[in-house]
Amino acid sequence: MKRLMSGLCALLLLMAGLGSAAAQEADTVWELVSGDGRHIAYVCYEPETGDQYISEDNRLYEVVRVEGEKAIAEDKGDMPMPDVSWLDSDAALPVSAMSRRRVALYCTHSDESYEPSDGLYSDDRRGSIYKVAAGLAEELSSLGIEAEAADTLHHPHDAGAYRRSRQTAVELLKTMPDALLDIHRDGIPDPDEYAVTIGGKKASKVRLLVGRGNQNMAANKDFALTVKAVADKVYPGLIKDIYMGKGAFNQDLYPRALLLECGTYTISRDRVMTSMPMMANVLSRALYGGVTGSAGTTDVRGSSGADKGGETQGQPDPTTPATQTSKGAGSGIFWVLGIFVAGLIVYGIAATGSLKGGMHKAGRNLSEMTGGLVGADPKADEEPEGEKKL
Amino acid sequence: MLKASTFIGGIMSAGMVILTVVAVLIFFGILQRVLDRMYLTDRAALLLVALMFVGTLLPRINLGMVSISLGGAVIPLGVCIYLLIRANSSAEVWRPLIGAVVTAAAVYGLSLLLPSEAEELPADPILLFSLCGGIVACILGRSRRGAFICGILGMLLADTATAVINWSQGVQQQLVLGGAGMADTVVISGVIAVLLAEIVGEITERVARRRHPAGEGNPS
Repeated sequence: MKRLMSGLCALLLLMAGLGSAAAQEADTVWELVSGDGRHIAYVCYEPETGDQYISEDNRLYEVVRVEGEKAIAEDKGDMPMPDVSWLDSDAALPVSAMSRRRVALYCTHSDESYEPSDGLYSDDRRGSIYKVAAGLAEELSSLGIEAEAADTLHHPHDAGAYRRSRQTAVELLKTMPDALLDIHRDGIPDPDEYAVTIGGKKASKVRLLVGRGNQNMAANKDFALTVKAVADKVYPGLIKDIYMGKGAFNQDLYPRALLLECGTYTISRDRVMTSMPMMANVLSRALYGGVTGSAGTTDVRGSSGADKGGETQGQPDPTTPATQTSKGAGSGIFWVLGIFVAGLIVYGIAATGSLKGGMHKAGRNLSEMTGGLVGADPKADEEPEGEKKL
Repeated sequence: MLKASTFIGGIMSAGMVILTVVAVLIFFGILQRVLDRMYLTDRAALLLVALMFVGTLLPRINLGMVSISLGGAVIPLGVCIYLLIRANSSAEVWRPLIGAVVTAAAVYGLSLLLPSEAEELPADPILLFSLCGGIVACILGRSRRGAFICGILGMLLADTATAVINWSQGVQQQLVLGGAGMADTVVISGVIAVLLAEIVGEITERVARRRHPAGEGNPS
């Protein structure tokens, strides 16, 4: 018993050690480079082997190792993008049965601001990131989408912020939105990384972040790809890239949840606000296609006047907006079931000391959880009620 | 044209609904097994899981600067109080209570120690905090029931401490207790604490049975 407790104590110390080691590098910007040293991108999050990155020109990279502040990424070729050819189509698009359209937004990091326009990059009271979220919500509303931007604060900006914002996310999910968006701004010092001119307007790029440590990763990645494919078509350059890193960012709560990095702290908020009508337009099309919603908004197919272009590849299913696709659900289900079954077996082996005994114990627990539908008969070796574990 | 996969007002496709339902059902099952070890019958544990689910869906109780979730705080807190009342000795009361304070300190300390950006953490913050709460609670709770109390109360105390510090700095931010309901770190850390205690307990009991085949072991 003492040895086990010592082991648990050591694990706790290790967690704290890992944390403090990482904390020393909190302000670091990492550079993704190819095997031959070619610059790919800057990121503010410590890359980890296995992280994936989809560049603005839709090349897929995978981090193979990290050396100091450089992450070596392997070029995996062109990323197959969802077919959004319906944006150009004159044919009738499907009429949606949706009774209403809804998007929810919140800001995990309540302090985030834009230094050139706000005078500070971090506001301890209420960062201007809330104005960006409100701006995006307003633009979505103008397209006939019920958009709710939560003004809940989640101070301080520490490792517990996601724990607190999770509460807001769950509260927003009670309204059953079609998408859940966490609005941030990036921490890359160079404003040129995000500055862009679209249709003659000085705007800011938006980076999409997908957490790969959860069962909804495939579904959320698919949603991110659809958003980028639509943006590439109607506002090329608006979506900077997609980063798929460790963690969940509360995306485990919903299979259509994204984190949006709307510009960086060294860019003017005016540029970011200029991007919001475009972002709203892209989200509307990605989620609902060109359908007419009950709120009375008419189809916006090809009416943006923005540049058209960009290549699309992959499975042609030109009438499937993100709200109606099941892509990523299968792998998510296997992900959940796999972890659950593995956990049951590990527990069983720990409890019995053998694989056979472990499988039997796992089966018995499974049976108890499913009321005897699956697994071994729980009554075969049931312990009396009075002898339940302390 | 209405696609066959579209239902629930078009909010989610069939695949996404199944994915969500599978994840939720598995968590329900684990939670039921955890509650089953809290002086509760199978049926009572199942009823509590159902109440926590309903409580998660219901609006939170707002009391000025404090907001409380039925599913994420009130019901778990009720189970803790029930366990403390049913305790067989004074040690079964004070040990989890002291453990809860230490768990809160560990969780709060971890939020100061760890980098502020979730992307720089060694694992997802929800899992890290739940694991931290669970490990400390398991060590100090010394039993499955003690671990549950430490995990739940510790996380609630840590949230309260953060709110008090915010208020002392003039930040008018509502304290939300268990706001994510069943998905809150309060519930998850309680579950992890019990699962860890369960594994530690099973291993200890197995070792004890080997040493004393006649049943003279001393299970924790």
